[in-house]
Amino acid sequence: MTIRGIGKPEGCKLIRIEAEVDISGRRLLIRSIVIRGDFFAIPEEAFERIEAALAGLSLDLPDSPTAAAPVKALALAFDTLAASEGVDLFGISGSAVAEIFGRAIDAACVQNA
Amino acid sequence: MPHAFRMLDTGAGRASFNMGLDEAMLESVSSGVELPTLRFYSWEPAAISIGYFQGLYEEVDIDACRAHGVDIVRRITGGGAVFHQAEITYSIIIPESHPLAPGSIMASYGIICSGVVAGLGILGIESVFAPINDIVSGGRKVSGNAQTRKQGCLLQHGTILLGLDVDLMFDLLKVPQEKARGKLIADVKSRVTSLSDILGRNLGYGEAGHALAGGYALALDLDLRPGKPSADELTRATRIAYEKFSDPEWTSRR
Repeated sequence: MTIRGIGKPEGCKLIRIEAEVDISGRRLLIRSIVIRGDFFAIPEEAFERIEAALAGLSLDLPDSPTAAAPVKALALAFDTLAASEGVDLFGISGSAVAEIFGRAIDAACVQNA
Repeated sequence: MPHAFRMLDTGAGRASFNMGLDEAMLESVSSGVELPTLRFYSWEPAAISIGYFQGLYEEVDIDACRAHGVDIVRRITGGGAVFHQAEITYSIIIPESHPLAPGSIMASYGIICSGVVAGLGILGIESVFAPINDIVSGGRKVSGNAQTRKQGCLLQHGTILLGLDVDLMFDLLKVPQEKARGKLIADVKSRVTSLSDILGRNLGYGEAGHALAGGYALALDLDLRPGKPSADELTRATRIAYEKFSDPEWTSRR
């Protein structure tokens, strides 16, 4: 399913997330993710490699219908990839991306419940 | 000893050419053919530029832009959508090995924006750099700036608002929550201002450019050498404008 989220977490610019995800039991698989917004990531092309590398990420869902667990794992994955790609980020962070992603998952779960 | 810089005033240009020339200059400074360069320019027709990571269809009302004869271009720099109408734009290109281009991107924003702040000072306007990428006067934004690093060079471009038509700007831009459009417009009107509004008179491109050049020379200790884009740069700019910045695939890539 497609999930969409938008937000401006504390200290960040506007961030929009659109992702294709599969949820099976307690597993969530990110098939693809695009992160748009008015943030800065330098070099820009390396940011696109982060998006590409997040595709295929599998996250554990908690028992309760909240996205707290996948949020932490996604934040860690994003920050690790940004560090390994040597990307300088301004107005965006792993925790910001994960916060918006988590809310989008929550909204999709509520909608589909 | 002052840093030797080439200074260009290329006046009004189309959005695709403006961005093409910035990139052509990046190439020529990167290859060492040209000195580090400070350029001033404006936009004719008016244009919306969107940041590298923005979604075209989420940010811009394409039909409205067409109706108003406003160009649309995607920048190579991040940041937000900008309505380029009554403004002066600068771009500055410096090799990363240059003392004015420290490794820290935030530090270099501060250095480069200090040229704008000094230029506004010459006009009698007090302003400060407001990280990440704004310059504010009396708490209101007068300039937005965007930096990237490519080909061993720093490229930063920024706009300095000479006038402001917020209502037209919001005709051309989409807003995240349509219901909150009125509040957002009121909010932007209270948070953004122009040099003409601050001075209480019409400030033109020429006077603003003169002051900004003086500010840059002063704040960054530049020996500004007025020049023109080379024939190679103009040829390359035209090609990049056509092949990249006018290409719908580039404009709508996100």
